[in-house]
Amino acid sequence: MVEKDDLIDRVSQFYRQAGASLTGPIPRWNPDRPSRILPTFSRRAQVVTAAALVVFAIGLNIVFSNLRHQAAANKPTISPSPSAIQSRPVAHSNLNVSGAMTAASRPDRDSTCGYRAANSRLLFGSDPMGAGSEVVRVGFEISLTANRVGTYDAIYPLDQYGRTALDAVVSSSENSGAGSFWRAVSGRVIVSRTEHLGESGAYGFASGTLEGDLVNQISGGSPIHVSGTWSCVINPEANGP
Amino acid sequence: MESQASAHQFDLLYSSAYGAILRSAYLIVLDIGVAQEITQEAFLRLWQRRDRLAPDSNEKAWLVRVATNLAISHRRSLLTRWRLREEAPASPDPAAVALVQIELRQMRRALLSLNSRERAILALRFAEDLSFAQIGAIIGRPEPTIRTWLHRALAKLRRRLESSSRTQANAIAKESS
Repeated sequence: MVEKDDLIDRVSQFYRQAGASLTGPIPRWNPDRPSRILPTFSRRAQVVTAAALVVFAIGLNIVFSNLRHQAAANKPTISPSPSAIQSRPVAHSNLNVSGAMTAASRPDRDSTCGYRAANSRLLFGSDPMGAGSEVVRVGFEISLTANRVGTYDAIYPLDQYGRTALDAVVSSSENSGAGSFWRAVSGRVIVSRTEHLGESGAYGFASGTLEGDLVNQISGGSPIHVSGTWSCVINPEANGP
Repeated sequence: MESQASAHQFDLLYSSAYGAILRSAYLIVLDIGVAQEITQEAFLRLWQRRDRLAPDSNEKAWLVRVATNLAISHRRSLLTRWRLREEAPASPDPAAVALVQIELRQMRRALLSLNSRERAILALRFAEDLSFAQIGAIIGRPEPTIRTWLHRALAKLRRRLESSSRTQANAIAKESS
């Protein structure tokens, strides 16, 4: 049996000695002195308290659950791919080239853009302007400031090949990318509006005005003058980090 | 006159039962200060209902039951918890002074690691020599439950004592090496 071992003897001995040590005067009975023990809870009070806590916890859970649902309902809906619901903006530039050659944007053609969020760089390419053996594409590449909108220097030197922010390529046909390069010697690019730049999966949009004088990179010679309004759509695949 | 007689009767009961009630409480809480407060509370409760007691009622048994249950369920203050952890209280507590021997100190610590209900069952069984039925009547649980609880309390106490002995043996070995 459990109670016949050494442990019982030890416990009993402890109680004998501890009980025997309780000697001392009995304090005077004073019914006016309240005891200082902390109040206890009856079993009934404990059950009632526990039940109240459970009800409170359930209520709290319901409230938080409702709040979560409400918050989810109030949250603006974002589809996985904004491009799926966002219609492609339309952009028409109205650029004019004059001087050594003349050309103009065609209203039925879009200019295109690209945007890299990593360096806030906006790239613009106009529709091919002109016809026959002289087709000119005007473009620029600028690093947007924090405000994005603003005026940017057309001759700001880019790192490679003596390029400038604003330049043009004159080729022999609309389908050819090769041709002579024209660099800006004066001018500016003004960005007046941007939308959804750098938003992954979304169409971006930018617009403004530009004007500048450009000379042939090799032969120099008479400049061409480019001016007008520009606007462009940034396709989702070009509107990224 | 009737009131005076009642007060006198109560004084007699207080004088004769105080030691036993204090002991009952002390052997559970193992703190003389708390035990004194529990004893005072038990007598206060009896005092408040002294006019409602039946002539043949056993006040002492009633007081033991109240004191035991107060000892089981009283909420220990932080101060009390801290005091109970002390190895050897330097207070003039006569009971504590008697518990300086290592064996008793170990047992005290092991008992304090049990919950108050387990301590109450052990005290009622091995200090008061009460039967399981009597313990069940005091605590308000059936006899088989008391048996089970006692068995578990002893097993737990044994584990605590063994663990304490191992720790002490290790400390001694470390000191001698």
